[in-house]
Amino acid sequence: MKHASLVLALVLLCALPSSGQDQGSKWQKHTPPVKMEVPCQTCHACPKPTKTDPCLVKCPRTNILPGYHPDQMGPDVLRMDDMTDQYGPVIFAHRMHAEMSEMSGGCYSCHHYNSTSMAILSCRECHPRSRARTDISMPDLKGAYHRQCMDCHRQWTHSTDCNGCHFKKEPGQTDAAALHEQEIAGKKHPKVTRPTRVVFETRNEHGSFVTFFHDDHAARFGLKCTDCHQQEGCVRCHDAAKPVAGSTQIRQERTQRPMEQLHQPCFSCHAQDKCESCHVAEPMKAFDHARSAGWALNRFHREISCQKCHGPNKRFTKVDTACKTCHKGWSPGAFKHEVTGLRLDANHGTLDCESCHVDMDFGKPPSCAGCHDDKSYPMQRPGKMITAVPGTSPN
Amino acid sequence: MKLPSRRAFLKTAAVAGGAVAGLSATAKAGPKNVLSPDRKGVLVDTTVCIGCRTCEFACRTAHGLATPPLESYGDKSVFSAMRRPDTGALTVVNQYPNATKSELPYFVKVQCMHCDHPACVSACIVGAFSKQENGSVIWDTDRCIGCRYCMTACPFQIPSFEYNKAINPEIRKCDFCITRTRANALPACVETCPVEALTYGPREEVLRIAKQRLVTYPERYVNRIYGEYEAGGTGWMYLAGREFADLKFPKLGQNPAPGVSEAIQHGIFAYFVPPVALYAILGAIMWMTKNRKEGV
Ligand code: SF4
Ligand code: SF4
Ligand code: SF4
Repeated sequence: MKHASLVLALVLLCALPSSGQDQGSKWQKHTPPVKMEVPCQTCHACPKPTKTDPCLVKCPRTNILPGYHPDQMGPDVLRMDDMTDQYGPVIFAHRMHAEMSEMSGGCYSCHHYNSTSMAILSCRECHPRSRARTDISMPDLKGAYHRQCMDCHRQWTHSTDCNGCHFKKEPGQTDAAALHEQEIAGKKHPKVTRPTRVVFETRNEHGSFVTFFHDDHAARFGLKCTDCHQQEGCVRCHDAAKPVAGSTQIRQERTQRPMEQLHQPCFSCHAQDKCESCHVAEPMKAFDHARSAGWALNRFHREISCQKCHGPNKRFTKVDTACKTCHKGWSPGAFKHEVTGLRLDANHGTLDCESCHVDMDFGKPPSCAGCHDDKSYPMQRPGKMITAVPGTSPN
Repeated sequence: MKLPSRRAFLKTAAVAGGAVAGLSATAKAGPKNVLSPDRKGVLVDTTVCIGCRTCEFACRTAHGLATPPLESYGDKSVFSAMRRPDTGALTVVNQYPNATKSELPYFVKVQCMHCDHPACVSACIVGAFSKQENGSVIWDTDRCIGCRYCMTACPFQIPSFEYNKAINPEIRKCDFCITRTRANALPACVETCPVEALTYGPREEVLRIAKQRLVTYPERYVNRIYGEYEAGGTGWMYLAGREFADLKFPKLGQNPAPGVSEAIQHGIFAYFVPPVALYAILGAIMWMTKNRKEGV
């Protein structure tokens, strides 16, 4: 019975006129045993599927495709006129949505089921057109479309008005839908600018301000946008009720969200931190290694990524500041002092490091007092300043 | 009310009374309550409903009730007060806050639940209420004597009475669009809902789908189907993202609510049968005498 209905659904699916070209290509042929990306049970309900009875699971809602094509390969503007009774077609800026979907689950957030081939199935290929039907396990096409659109659109427009998307059918009128179609064809979403520093005002008892250094996190920790922004709906930025002069309508304040949800992006690294390490009385200044770690970075160390010294873990731990901790092969004899920008003269070139760098602490300025009473660095230098050779490292 | 309906009632009573009196004492003059295995049901998924109230519009239109234009239903201010279905609206949608996503509140459509063991049917002493083969609990204007027992009996406070109508006031409630379904059309609200928050089908199938959703999306729902057992099971069932008590669903046991009223009423019937039969016979004699007189 169950099998029969599945087969029927499949037959129905293939019989849909609009699914177009070669139906065979939608379902990649595979002769078992073949290594698939997903376990067999994801698609087949029975242990031994056969050609005649593949016992396909109707919609496993599992991302079967190993990857999706880039957004530019998808259609630009879609005219959705599968079901127009009272209203005219809906013009859907597919590419613009696809472009921005990266941070909200990608193509998968709409195309939640695809076969093993690289063909992307559209809504109408599975969701039946008629609401009066025997198989009611998935919403019909009208339901599927609206479910997909309305959660964002009603937050954006604060309304459930049909006219927000549908053009009313009025005989003898100019085709408003066609005009709109032309208007949005080829349009791209404006480039999203990356904030450098975001200050959140909170109601935490330890202090009102949380300062988030967006660029520091992105660049220094090698994060991709999607490492943090995974479920950003359009409404994260867009709100029709709060227009900002001269630009698209950008939402200015954040809504109330539960504490776990708000902290989730930070907690993946900062779970061990106390409230007061982020919630402070004043907005924070940019990260300063000298202030926070008590060890000033020289101009070479400033250039390299944090991981180079602190390792791949996102939570950094204290590193021994002795040169040899990182510069493993370093020996005083092999060291070329000119990489620091100062070529030592003949008198100083043969001295031990400690003669100038007291206690081998290279973070502090060198001292001349060990030998000279009347000299001090950097008024006098033990050699000649040269331009550091690019690409050289003190290693 | 209308004379023929009284006559019909008396005739039914006479037949019933006679039959009961003549049969064993356990037989009851029970109201019509068909519980067909194919009876239809609806799953209302409150996590899917977007509160557009198009269903309210469609329901009014399908029942010839006065309605403002569809565009005006976008007005969200109606949600500031809790509403109940009444004689002017057989279904209403209410809004409740969503604690985890304040931007996406929950909406609950309210209408008759089309109970499997309807309290209204057992409460109605003249059999104006009935549960039909297709699951609809409907009301017959010709039989109703306006006693409003159904209103007190219904655990969901559904039937409403046209108090403001002096002549022939009627009981009003969602009739599961019986006229439409008899003509093989979907109930108006089900047909119109843009997101298919209302899934219509055989109750068993609808229940199966509800269970499947609970398994597939456990994080989306509270693990319960309201109406699966409440009041002995209802035709309309609900899924929700927060506790049903918070969404103003009445807390009901698994026993059919009519169990209470039925017991009382059938108790009355049990002792009432001889007098009823007697009255019926007397009534019949009077009626016949009257007829004879009229005939002279
Ligand atoms: S909800 Fe009330 S009116 Fe509707 S069938 Fe149940 S008891 Fe009757
Ligand atoms: S089933 Fe019909 S009568 Fe009942 S609420 Fe829906 S539209 Fe109204
Ligand atoms: S039509 Fe559907 S989505 Fe709109 S309020 Fe009614 S049940 Fe909810």
